[in-house]
Amino acid sequence: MKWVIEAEDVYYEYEGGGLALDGVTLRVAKGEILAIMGENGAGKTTLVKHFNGLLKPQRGRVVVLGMDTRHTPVSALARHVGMVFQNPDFQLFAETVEDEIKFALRNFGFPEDVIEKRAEWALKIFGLEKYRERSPYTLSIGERKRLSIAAVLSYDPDIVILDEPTSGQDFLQKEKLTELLYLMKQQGKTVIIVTHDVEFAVRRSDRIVVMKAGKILAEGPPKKVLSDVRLIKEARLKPPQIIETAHTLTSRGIMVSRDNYPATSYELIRALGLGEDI
Amino acid sequence: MSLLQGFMYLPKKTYLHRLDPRSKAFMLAFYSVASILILNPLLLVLLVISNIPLAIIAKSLGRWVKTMKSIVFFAVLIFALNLLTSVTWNVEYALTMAARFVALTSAFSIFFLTTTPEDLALALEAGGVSREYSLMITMSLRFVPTLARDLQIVIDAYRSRGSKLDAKGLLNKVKAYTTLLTPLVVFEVRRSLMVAEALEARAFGATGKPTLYKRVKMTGEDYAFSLLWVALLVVIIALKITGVLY
Repeated sequence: MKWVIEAEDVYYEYEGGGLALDGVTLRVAKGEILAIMGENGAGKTTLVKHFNGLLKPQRGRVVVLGMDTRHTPVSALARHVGMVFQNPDFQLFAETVEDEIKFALRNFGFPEDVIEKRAEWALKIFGLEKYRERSPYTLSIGERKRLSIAAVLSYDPDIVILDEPTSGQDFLQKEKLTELLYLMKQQGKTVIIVTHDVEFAVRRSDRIVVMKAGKILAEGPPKKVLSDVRLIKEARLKPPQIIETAHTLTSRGIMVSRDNYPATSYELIRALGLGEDI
Repeated sequence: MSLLQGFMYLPKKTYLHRLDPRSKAFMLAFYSVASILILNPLLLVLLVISNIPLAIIAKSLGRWVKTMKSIVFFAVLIFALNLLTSVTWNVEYALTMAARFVALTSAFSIFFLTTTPEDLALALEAGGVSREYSLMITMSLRFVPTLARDLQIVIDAYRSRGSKLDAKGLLNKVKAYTTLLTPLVVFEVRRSLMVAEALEARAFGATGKPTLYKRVKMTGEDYAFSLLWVALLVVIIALKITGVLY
């Protein structure tokens, strides 16, 4: 297994109190889609800010693609680690949508023809072509969110971190995001998603890490983690609806195996022995 | 950042914290008038030193010292500018201007460290200022830490896309910070609209005389404190008029 991120026993305390990370050890494999979940204030965003060097561990260390973040500037790490923040409004700097996408490309000094090509690709894939001349701030919240993602994916980082990518997105945009996640995975990219969206996480991630009070509470395959009732309760998450249904069916004696909970309605139907097609 | 903290309420249970903001306003009046009337930099330094016992009473000496340290840069800047722009290279004049700035900042810092924005608003309203204006003042104080936090997020987002803040050269620095201001200003304007809507949704301004949950009241302590500063104020004005202070 090739690890692209290795965090070892990371501690971080914000100025003015508040231990945000309390000894976090986590390794992220190349090409995986990892979802980080947990209640507000669990330390999720603080943790991912360590992955591109915005925050440096006060104890322990974080190694990203072989670079120790304590000794590598953010600008060097940023080339390999793309980070999309939760609120798009804080990360739109340019006068037009097109320039916004080109912003990072220019920072990294790509040649102009590459910049053009990559900007076209990003505009197209996120359905923002018709807005290219508009100011980013005249877009709707969903569009601004997409633009902030497009602006990061345009420079093709090896690792992409998305903080709450599904918030404020309708079903169609979520599906588009899913497509994109799989596309990135196919290209061998590593994707880390910070999210509260259990439905999205259970279907789209390879592994889930659950955090609470600056510690990692549990990690593992999505279905396994999200079907653990006690854990879910402790982490103040809500189980995905299908898993909840499966629980109810099991407790009524109608269900299926305990260790292999379904994540989709099709899997549920199969698990109930009702056949493949419906 | 530590400069801003010097003007943010520091919750403590002390005599100064307990006082009505109006009586503390007399203290401010004395320091403001004194720092304008006094033209001797040494006396102005004494004026600043006289804030130390107040800071100790307020149990906020540490924060006050921090504030003073954080304004050294500005004081030096004021000194330099006054020196350079004065025709006769009047060192004493430049020193006076710098010391005046320090004296004013110091007194205002003591005031804001010991006064909650809410109490300040109540005192303003009791003094006849309309609710809209008092709210404006408390809100702007209230949003200082929020603004600082927002700025940090913008800086993080900026650096995450390969931009460097530590650019060389003044022009590049100015350019970098202007870029940062764009999202910040846009967002804060949006936020103020949201706040305005939230206020209206909760019936702000529905009646001319809203019920007050808390009232500020001048007590014996307050009158004594006010009297002290009014007396000092009279003394300093008298000294100036009689020419003892020049």
